[in-house]
Amino acid sequence: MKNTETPRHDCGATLQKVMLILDNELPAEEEKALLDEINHCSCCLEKYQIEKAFKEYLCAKIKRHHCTAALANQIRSSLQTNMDR
Amino acid sequence: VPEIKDLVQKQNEELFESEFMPHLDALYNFAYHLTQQEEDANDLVQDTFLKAYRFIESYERGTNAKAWLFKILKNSFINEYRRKTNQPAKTDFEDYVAYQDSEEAAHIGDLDLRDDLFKSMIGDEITRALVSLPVDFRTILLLCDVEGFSYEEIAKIIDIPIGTVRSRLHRARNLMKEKLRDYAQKMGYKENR
Repeated sequence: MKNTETPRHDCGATLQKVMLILDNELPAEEEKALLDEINHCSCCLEKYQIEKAFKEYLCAKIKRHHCTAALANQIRSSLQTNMDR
Repeated sequence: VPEIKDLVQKQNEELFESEFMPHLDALYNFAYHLTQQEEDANDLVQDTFLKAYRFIESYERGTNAKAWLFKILKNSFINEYRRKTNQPAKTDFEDYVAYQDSEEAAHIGDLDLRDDLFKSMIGDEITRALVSLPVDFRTILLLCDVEGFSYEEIAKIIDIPIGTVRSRLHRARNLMKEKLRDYAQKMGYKENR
């Protein structure tokens, strides 16, 4: 007899994998299946959106420091000195 | 033979320009977040590029230059800069057991950054929270969330197993949320619970 029972949704197990989706660490098929599961559970969906907002927040808000053209020139010039030795 | 030596040197120079120099800005950003000083960041980046050139024969053209350079920089920071500034060489992770998969961690995980107060925080405040993290946690957040390295790349850069990358990231994010929550509470943020 064919087993038609769908596996029971486990919020804990699903949520443990949320960051794997956000960090692009899951194969496409597994990611799609997990996202389907998340979309069918309001509790998981809420937590997923919170984690997603956190990751996007960090990416957007952490200040980026840019190197100066002087440093690039300095690196090229020290390299040249090293090579000429 | 001088001609061969010149040819190899020219090839190395081309490789350096085409594969290493494009990552200069990202390396500087990483160095600055580690050292917190412009001068130290400059020294660390310069040292990284000189080492990269010195060991250029061990780099395989067309492979992951960015991860290779980040690894050199991270090692230089640990071996030289930290020693020079008497910073602790290693974080005692046992101090952070409270942040393992506990109820407390789940609670911190509920912090909702979509609140308007968080949206109004500026980069400097977020950066201050990041800087206040122990350097190993700061490093892993920068590598994953700022530079976008995969867990496998991070594992190679820091020399830790992938499982440790996951758990360290989890703890780093919870610590960061806690810092942001503390800061937001001082600014009048109230959690809906």
